[in-house]
Amino acid sequence: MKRVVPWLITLALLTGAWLVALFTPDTEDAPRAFISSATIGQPIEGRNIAITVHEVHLAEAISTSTGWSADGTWFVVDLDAAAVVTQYGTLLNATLIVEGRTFVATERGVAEPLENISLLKTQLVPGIPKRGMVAFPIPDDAEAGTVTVEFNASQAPYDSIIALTVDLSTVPVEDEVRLVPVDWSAR
Amino acid sequence: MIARGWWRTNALSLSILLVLVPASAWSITWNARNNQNSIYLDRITPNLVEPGETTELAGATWGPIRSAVIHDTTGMTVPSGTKVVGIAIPVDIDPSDPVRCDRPLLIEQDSGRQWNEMSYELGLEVRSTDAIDCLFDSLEDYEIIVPFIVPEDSVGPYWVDVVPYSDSLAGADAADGGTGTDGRFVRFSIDPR
Repeated sequence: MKRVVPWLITLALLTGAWLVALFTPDTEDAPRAFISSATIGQPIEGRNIAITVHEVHLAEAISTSTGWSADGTWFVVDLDAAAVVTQYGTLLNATLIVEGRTFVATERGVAEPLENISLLKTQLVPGIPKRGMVAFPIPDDAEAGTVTVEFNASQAPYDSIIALTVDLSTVPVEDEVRLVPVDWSAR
Repeated sequence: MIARGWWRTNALSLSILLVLVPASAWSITWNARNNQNSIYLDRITPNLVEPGETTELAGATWGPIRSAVIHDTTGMTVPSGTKVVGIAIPVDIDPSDPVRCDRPLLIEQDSGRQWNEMSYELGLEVRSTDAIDCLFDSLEDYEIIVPFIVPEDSVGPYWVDVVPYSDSLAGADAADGGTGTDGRFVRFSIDPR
């Protein structure tokens, strides 16, 4: 009996270590461990990011109130975004993933002076949401597929990511979407 | 049941464990405890200032702080469902060694939620002579006056943190110029009504 016990313990420890190694995410996935899925119309909260997606649009052009416009295939998300705990250094980041390719939200668009046309890189405030839009140019051939938009508060690894997955075939294609400048959310 | 002899044989190892186990717990949680303050702006050791009192740090005298919930927001762009908290911090400086500091931060004591000053967002005009952080060029005492926007349901008491810093452009030799980079900062406790 005394001989067997140490071997049993060894076996248990080895099995335990093997399981830990098995379930540890690999280096690429580990920083993306905290992903929450958003649905349109539902508020969702991560560690330092809270989002409510109001609408999504697919359009052949985007424009602003200044008369600026740009053709292309655009995926536009209209949302509320706030921080949860910290304002200092908290900027909204938004990327779109389609068929393994990743796009950053566009920084294009001419707004009126002092207005922000995109929620991208706007400062998020704890408990006080801002409403605005982010627009992504997507490849023309992607219109039939599925896209995932990921929001996070600055690009720190191991932090909350809020992901919105949309089947583009369910989104009607509009001629043009007018980008509305960022403002405090009316709630 | 472990025999008494076992404890005696392993007395040395056990007493070392007695030290190491608490030390491990302490060091593992060290980061988390420090992050409470220092996740930004090197805030490690607060100079805690009670209402009505002052403190000295980095060659300046700070306080006493005044604070209020600002009800008359005429001319300001205030988001719905929020209120404005205004603070004023008198800064008595040493003109031979003026202090540098970042804009004050507001922290809800219960939750740890943190807000930046919001002069611009409220649509207030900030002139170069207005102090929203330390006026390095000023040879006279002044008051840092800034507004914060907090949700309507946010409740005091709050911390107001002011973090002095050294003039990095002047090089390491200037580090003794009165401004602290050793993690010390001024922390006022306020409960504005």
